[in-house]
Amino acid sequence: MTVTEQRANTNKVATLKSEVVQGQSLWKDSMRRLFQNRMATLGLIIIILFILIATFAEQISPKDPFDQELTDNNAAPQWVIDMFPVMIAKGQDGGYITVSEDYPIGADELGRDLLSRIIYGSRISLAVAFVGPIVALAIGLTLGLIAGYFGGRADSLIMRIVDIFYAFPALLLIILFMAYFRGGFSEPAPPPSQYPHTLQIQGLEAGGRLALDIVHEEGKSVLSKKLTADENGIVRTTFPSNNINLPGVYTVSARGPKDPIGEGTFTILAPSEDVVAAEVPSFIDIADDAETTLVVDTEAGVTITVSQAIAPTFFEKISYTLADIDRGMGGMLFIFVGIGLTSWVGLARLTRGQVLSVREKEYIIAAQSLGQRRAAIIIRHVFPNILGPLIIAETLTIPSYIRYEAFLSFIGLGVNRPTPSWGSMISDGSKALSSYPYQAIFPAIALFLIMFAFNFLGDGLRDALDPRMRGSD
Amino acid sequence: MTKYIIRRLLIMILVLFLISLLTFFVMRAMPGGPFASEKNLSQQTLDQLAMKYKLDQPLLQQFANYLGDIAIPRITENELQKTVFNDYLINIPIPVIDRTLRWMNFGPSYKSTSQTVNDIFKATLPISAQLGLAASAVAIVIGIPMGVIAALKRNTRWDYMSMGMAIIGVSVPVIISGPILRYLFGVQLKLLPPTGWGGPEHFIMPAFALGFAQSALLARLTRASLLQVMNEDYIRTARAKGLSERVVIGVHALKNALIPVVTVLGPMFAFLVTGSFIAELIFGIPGLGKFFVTSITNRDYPVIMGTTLLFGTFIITANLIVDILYAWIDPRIQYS
Repeated sequence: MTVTEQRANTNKVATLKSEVVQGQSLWKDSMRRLFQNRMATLGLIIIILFILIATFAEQISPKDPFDQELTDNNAAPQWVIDMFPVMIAKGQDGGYITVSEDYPIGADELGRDLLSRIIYGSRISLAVAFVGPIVALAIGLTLGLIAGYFGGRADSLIMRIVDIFYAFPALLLIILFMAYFRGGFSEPAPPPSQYPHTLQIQGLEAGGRLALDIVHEEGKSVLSKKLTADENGIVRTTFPSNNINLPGVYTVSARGPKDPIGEGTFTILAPSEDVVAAEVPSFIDIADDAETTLVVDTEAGVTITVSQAIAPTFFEKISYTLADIDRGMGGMLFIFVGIGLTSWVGLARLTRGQVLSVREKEYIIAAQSLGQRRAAIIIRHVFPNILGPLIIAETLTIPSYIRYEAFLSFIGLGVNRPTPSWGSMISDGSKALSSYPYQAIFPAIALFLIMFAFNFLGDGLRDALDPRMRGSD
Repeated sequence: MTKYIIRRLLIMILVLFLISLLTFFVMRAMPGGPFASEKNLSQQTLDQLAMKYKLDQPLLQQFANYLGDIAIPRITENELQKTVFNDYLINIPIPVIDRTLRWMNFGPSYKSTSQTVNDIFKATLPISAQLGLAASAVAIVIGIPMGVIAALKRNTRWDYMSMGMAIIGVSVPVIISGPILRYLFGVQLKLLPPTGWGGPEHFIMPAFALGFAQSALLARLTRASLLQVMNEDYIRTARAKGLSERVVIGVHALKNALIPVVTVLGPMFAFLVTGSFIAELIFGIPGLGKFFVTSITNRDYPVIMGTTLLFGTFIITANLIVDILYAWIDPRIQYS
């Protein structure tokens, strides 16, 4: 959302009075006005249709959206070829399109059914359309209520944070966060057998170079690496523990540029089988030593230490869990987080303004003089009276959430592949636009329909709830 | 007023500092580094690269160095042996002491090794700015007349049509209009080059795709503003003294109604320049937005930092100018 849009939206609803939730007749009246607005009604119908499509995606989609038929890649039915004259069917002069009536609107570059992918893609856009406002409301409303009702230091602190976030370029912020989430949280939790083992060599010359080898007695190489000692004469390296899952004797040898530095052995008795991820960091028993280290003394006073496998730290565990949830949702979790981090700001401002205008009203003073607790006043009296304008503001920003998701998926930071999202489908299709235009155009039309529907509904809703605002912006 | 501007400038510096702080540490927290994607680099080479770009220093020191290179002006010899490490954006010769004052060194690019971030700015920012200007022009030319017509013919077919068009406009971001326009005019009708950058024919599609959505916002704003102005007393006065409708609207109403419209043009331009990632990707335009997206995947740290700071400065400055313009145009607005 641009700053201009945000301002426009804020101004737009700032003047609205809170008559939205004052009794049924007004509500009925508003609904009547909403349904008189033909475009808004059309928008509502389209949204309901999309909700049905998303809900029953399994039942209505003709094929599995993940199913690849590589022989049918970029295949299209005849009517699509007729619709896009640049496409030439195989058999004709210069033809390159496989004609296949199996796919109602064609297949993509991996031979997946495009219609099924568009149907499943509606889930992503709709999820963002409904969860985006909830995330924004949860953060913005809470902070705005606190700032507006309590005033004083809480107010100035929150509003300073809001000011700073307001000046942040939201698009850059969201790209940066998404790149961080996608990069930093994308690793699945390693099984215990892959917890890294650390190997440390002490007593070397500062900056000294050496070649390190760990070899199993049967000749399997576990590690072979060239290393440089730091200023304290220490070399440290890690290797995955599943490299040493064979029972037997392992030889560690370190060689300097000219001479061998040191050599030693350690023995693995047996990798234990019932390992629980976080609790038992080591599955290795190192022979003849209660400690899990191996110390090799050489003439030069060099010691080589092999330590136990390292279990993930607390933060790593959190990040693995988050990444698991995110993967389970096809990458949606971090999109919600990203949207939440950037979209609460305008709402916090709006809420604060609304609270300030309501705070001095007689019914609040009455509640205060009756001795109600502040929390009760906020929840029972302030909150319902400011909700209307906030809902309108959020309805009007839904298209921008949908746009954010499409944008992020377009640049590859949105949903995880192969989860179908209209944004990533448009991105893929755009790359082959001159040969297979339908692959970008059809998802673009779907995206347009849903943006259009939410825009008209939001506009109609605002007009219906406050007829004085008709068309003003 | 002066006090207000000074306060806003101070906040601007604070925000820019926070942007750079956040960007720096989020960027460095991402796994993988600028050289991780290059295969077959020995540990030794990697160490040398890290040392060359001072990536082996503590993070905080790197951050301080980076900010220092940008913010602190240096006085150096007139002739500077140009390397990727000492390319300054601003070079002012000081005649008396025969030295040169240099400022804003955004550092080298790790990926395009012969280029500095300043080189990339110089090559790509004009392109993004031209595109932003062209898109703004499209938005103004379509949006303002549409808003004026809608307001003057309020509640008629014209009004409904313009406002319907406006809603369709905001429903068509570049991600939708881009591929459709490119297919229609670039591939099918072959009227315009589908991708690339160069002559004016390359401008048309991306500028239209970007500008159309913004024109919708302008149209709505113009309509609302004009409707409000038409109810003012001075319009009634102008009519009462017998001025023709054309003079009333052209001279008295439009002039006042366009004030809020003009003030949003600055941020709109900033938004169009900084938000043209998608247009640049779809139409293959070598602008800054495209560079930013690739620099993130490449972990090209100085390019990420430089672009974020540049875009941030752009947007914050545009907003500041609007607020000052408002106060200047409308003395009723008080700033404290």
